[in-house]
Amino acid sequence: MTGRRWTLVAVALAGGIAGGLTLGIALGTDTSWGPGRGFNAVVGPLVGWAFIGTGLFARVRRPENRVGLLMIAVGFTWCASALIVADQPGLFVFGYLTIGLPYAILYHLLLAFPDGSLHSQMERALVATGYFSAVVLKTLETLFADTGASPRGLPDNPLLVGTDGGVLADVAGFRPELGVLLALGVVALLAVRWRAAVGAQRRALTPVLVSGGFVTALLALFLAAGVTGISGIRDQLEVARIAVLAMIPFAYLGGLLHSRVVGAAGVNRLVARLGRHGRPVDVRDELATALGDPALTLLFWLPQRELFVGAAGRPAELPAAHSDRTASVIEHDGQPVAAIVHDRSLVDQRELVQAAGAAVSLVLENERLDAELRATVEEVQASRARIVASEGAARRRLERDLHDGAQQRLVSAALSLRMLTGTLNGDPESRRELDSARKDLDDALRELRELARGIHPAVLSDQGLRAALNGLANRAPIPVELTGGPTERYPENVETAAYFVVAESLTNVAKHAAATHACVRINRAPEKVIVEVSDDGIGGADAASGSGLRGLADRVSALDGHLEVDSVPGRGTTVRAMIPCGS
Amino acid sequence: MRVVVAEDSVLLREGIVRLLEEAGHDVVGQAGDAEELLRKVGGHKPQVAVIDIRMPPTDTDDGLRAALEIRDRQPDTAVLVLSQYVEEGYVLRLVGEHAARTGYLLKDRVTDVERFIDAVQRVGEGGLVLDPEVVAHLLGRRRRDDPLDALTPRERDVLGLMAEGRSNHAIAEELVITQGAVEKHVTSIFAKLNLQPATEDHRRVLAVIAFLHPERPRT
Repeated sequence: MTGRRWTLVAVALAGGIAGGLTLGIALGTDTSWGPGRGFNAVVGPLVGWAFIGTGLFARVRRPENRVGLLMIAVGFTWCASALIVADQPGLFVFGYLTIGLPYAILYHLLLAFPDGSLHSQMERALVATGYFSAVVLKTLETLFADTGASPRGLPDNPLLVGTDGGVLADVAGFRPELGVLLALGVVALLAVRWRAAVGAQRRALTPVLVSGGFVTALLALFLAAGVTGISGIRDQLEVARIAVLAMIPFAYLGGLLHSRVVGAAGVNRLVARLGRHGRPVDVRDELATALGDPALTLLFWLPQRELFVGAAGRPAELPAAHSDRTASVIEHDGQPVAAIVHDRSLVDQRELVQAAGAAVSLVLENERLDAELRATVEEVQASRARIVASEGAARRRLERDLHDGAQQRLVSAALSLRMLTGTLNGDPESRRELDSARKDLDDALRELRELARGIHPAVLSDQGLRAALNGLANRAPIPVELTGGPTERYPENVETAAYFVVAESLTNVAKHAAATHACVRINRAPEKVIVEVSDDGIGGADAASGSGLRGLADRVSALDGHLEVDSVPGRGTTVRAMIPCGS
Repeated sequence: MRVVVAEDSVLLREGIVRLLEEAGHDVVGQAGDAEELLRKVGGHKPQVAVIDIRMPPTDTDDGLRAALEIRDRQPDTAVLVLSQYVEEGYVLRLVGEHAARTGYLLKDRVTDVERFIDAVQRVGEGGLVLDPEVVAHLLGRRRRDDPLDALTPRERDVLGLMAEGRSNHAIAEELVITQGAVEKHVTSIFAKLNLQPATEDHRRVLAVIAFLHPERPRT
């Protein structure tokens, strides 16, 4: 046997002895206060054994989950606190001192259920307050509690240091009031959690949360009755509380069994549905139904990039520790395929999640490949968009450099030449040469202007699509009718793409279409701009063969849009670009 | 005439200033960007502002926007915009509805000293001057239902020269016809463009605006 096994056996033995001790003391004394000897004898050890036994079971099942440990702690502290019924002052005061501990631990257990850890500041604060009250305040109170003087006939308090504890005792005296608030706080948190839970989560939570909530509520009532002095019903409240407390471990076991049965049925249905052919299944929906978590999501593993992506192909992170969601990684042939991101309550049903994951792993492998493909497409798309954007920026820069650099210098040079001509007297030969140089410079300036315009029309950046298209229409050798030119500005990439679609199309019309006129239409649709150039020419243009049209299609699709060419021979040509454009 | 010159290239600005001073104009201020231009024009209240269309701070059409602002604030100051672009978008925006005291010349035109000096003079006197290349471009454009289609080729030539800001006398010289013939063409153009009777100068401006905005109905 391993060391761990020995520990478990030792704990079990100790638990047996502790329960037996409780039983012995309950039988050996007959206190005149609290529930009677019979009740204490039966329920006292039952509570201890049930918690310790179930805690050991939970510990074996999930060694890493703190729930088992907390249950064992509740069992032992319960046995310790049961010593309060003893006549012997030493035993009595031990029970008196530890009377609040099992409840403090129970709060911790309930709030940490089912995965064993606390998740919110509120939960942590309540648990800490519980321990503070049960340990610090109770100890303070014990030091100044003259139990022997109590009218209820309790044994003497060997730890008594004085009857006047001053401020400290006054503070400790508020323990019952604090206890009421604390218990109400725990009940409220449990109620909120239970209400928020759906499907499998609620199925797993209900038995323990409901019974635990009842115990806590009954304790609140019991303490409130003491605070307000209504002592008549205290005994009945205590009996009811202890009876429900004894049921918590069984509720835990029952809930586990129920979840397993229901969960197994869900996985069975899942397998049956996957087996049905002829219909693509939405694995996420199927898993969400089978595991009872509607918010379940799937992430797919990309081995080359070593990251998870969502169904759309975008990189995604696994949920952080201590969040409400957690992930179970599904493997196929020893390789991670996907991660099921689910509610943390399902952590307790790891086998179920793994079984469901194994059932869908083949389908998941396919979906993973899909997601991988989409991720690659997304990446390529993004890089194409970047290339187009940087090309646009480069064109603008080049145009600016030509105008601000080369052109300014040429104009200056022409001006100097001109002034030189003015000072020159006589010599017709030199004058002729100067005139010729000036003419060359004028031509160079004109060519430079057209070149810069072809690279990037400044009017597009300065005044937008409408003004730039007007300029294009007026340059065309045939009449061009422009309708719907937008007065609003679109994003730079959209304007540039729309402009070049029209520019290239009109060039094609002039070169190949033998048209008498052309129409340019710009329409704003939701989420996109539609650019249409049509002519009344001979038609028969082919998007696949003409490199101009091909280039346009590439430019438009880099922005996630697409280009259609409708060109029946004899019925003109229409080029239509749909360019995505958010509003 | 009192002139302010705005041009961010120092070399070119000094050349322009020299040209203007040699022609007897008084350059009262120089500016290297749009803000300085507005300040100097506000301070000196010149008769003409010669403005580079592209200037700091944004190096886009700051000069054009400054010109519009000057016309708005100081209608008595004429604006002559020097541009790199044969682009009617800029021309339309500059000329707008009230074309007087306005000029749009290509930058290269400063090397044609007589033309440039003449343009400064005419703009300062309240005229409208468009660059010949811009006018040629506008005359060359093809439209359906163009009201200019109603004009004879000779009338189109006359209208183009009107748009360049030429006087009847200058047009007659250019086309080698008599001044009387030019006047006849001008009257015919007004009639064909359906321009309501007004002062001669105002009608000339309206005719040029009709020429710039062929798609717009005229009153």
